[in-house]
Amino acid sequence: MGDTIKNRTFDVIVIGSGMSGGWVAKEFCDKGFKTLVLERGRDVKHVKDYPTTTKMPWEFERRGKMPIEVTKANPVVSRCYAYGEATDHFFVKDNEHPYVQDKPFDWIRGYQVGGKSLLWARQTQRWSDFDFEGPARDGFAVDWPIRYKDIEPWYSYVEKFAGIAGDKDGIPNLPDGEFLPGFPLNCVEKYFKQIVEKNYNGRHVISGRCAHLSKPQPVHFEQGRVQCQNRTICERGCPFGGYFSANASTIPWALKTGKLTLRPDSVVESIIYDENKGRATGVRVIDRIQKTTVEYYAKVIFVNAGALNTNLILLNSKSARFPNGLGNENDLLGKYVAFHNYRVRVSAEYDGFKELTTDGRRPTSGYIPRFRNVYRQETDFLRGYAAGFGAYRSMETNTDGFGTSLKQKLLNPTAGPWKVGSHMMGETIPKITSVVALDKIKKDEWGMPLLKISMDYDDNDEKMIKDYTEQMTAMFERAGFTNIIATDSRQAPGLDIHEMGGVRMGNDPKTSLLNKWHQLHECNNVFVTDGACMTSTSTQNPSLTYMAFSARAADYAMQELKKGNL
Amino acid sequence: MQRRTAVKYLFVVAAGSAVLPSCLHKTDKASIVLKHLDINGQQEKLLAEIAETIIPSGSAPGARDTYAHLFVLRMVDDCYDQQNQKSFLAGLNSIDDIASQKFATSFIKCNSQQRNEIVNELETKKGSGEAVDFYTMMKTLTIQGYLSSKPVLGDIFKYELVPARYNGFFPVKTSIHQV
Repeated sequence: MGDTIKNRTFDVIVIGSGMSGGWVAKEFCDKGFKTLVLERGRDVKHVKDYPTTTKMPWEFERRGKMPIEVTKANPVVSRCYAYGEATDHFFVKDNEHPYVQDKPFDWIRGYQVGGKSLLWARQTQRWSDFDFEGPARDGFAVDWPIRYKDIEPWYSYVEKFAGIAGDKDGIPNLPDGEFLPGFPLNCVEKYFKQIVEKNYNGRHVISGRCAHLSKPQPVHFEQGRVQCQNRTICERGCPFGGYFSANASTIPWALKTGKLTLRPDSVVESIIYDENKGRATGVRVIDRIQKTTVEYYAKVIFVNAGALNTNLILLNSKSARFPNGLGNENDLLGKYVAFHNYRVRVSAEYDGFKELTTDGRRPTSGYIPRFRNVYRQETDFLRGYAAGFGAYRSMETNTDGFGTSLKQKLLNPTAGPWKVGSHMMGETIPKITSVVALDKIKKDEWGMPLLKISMDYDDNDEKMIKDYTEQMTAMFERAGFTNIIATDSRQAPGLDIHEMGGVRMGNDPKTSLLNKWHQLHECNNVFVTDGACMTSTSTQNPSLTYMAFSARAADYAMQELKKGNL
Repeated sequence: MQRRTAVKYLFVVAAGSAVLPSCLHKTDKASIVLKHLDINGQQEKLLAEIAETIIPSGSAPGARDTYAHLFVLRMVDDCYDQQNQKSFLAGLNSIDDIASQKFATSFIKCNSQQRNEIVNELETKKGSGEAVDFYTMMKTLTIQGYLSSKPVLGDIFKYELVPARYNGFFPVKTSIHQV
């Protein structure tokens, strides 16, 4: 087969193979569409390319730590909790892929097939109308063009396939989903749940819903995935497919249809816009290794490069019609980016349940859904925060002395006090001053302009931090917890790994980039269903929503293709 | 030179080096490859004995059995900054000075009571600054390496890579491990 244009033409091109791109690929392939997935990084095959997944702790010569030269040369990625000796190969190093920090921003990236879906924290909470109606009610950003009823069936659809463990909690602002059995709370978490729910109206402590197969169904076995084994070393890749990743689920599923062409090492330079046709016709790709350029063509293009890289590709897709980036007629592309405020943790100890501890491990922990400003504005800041909550009991060892007495203590540790911890997940308000843009001078190894990132905390975030600290402290006191300590990490935006926006959805082409079907208003065969499409951030971990968006938009695109509208 | 001749010489040289007894090497190297620390076999042995004094073997393995001293070297070489590496080395080298002052011999030639006496001084922070700094690093890393080693974490504490369960209401049990 020669390298003809025909061989480089597909029904759909998906840029990115991670959390959302994998879903788009699966949906199109399932319905028989010829699909090309472009991934800028290397291929990572399920199980085969998880080199550390069965390693024992003592098989890591530094027990997980990275050499000081590496951490010094890569301060950004080294701040990520999941980065270390066991996962080094799945993270982008700072110096390999530079970017410009107009303001401090820790950009955590995974350039490989599967992207960050290999590495995510796997928390999957649904949005509700209390989230979708936020901007309209509180007067920021623009109104979301969709509501919960639009996305509800798609949440169910992706949950059944991905496998979500959770309890039916009946909380209006955190809708229940299609759950496999939830992972249980432990004794201290259950106790705290009772205290909070008895003393506070509208506050709940639940088991965090997570993308783990607590009780796999036929559709999961069909994917080659089996029950989660509670290893909690998920970020190394799971040989059981116990948690959802593109590598374990959507990508191999799509490949099995025979409809998918997966091209790793493909850096997308830009999307090609045809002035005469008034539509995008394909993408220009730079081979990561050879540095050669090749073009691919399709009727429909999905951009799922990861929120900020999706902005980068669109900004770099310049034409006479769109000199400032594809679909960017209103000059809002790259603006109104936002993130989640993860700055504060509150920790404490509990004197009770001395006779109990935990056994085994658990891939999730407790979750406190947003309770601030849900039904009405009640504080001096907008929106609110969700919180993680967990209790654990460690074995403790006194390391005084040396010799046989020390050894006696080392080999016979005693159960320490119960420890509890919580961290905030605050909604931040997208602002016109929060921007990603192309650097005018600096370029990367592939000739792509570097992305210049400029976003920061604001007064609303500081007030929210104060409120979270006060409220969590009060709830801990109410439960009789002691040694309560609040810590503000002052971490830069980005380390939450929930960067969103820049290509926001909205009803009005003058004030938004995407319509309610995720199509660019000004170029309707280009869809964006990753974090870049987010109009506001709310408090939930966003991946589940990206998956649902992707499946819904792909379904719409296929219908339009069949009708000949695209 | 003809290629064949060169190859022949190569064999002769190789054979020669193979029969040289190892005692003729003036400074033998540490048994693991280090990037920054210049450690010879004697110093490695000294580290092993200090580790063993901190956690001696008995019915359960000691530090030396778990190669904790090699873990110490790996960590100091890879994860410590230059200043800490320097003071680690200086402190290590001062241990024999202490031994010779107190017992007119090297640490390795000290009997176990003498070794304990030296380590006890360091434990109670009586020695020189550099010796105490070294000891603090050495002890912390020895304990970490020991507790996370296969003989201890795997065989004694029965670490499970695949627990396949979670119980949040598990009774505290105390099992006594023999020292």
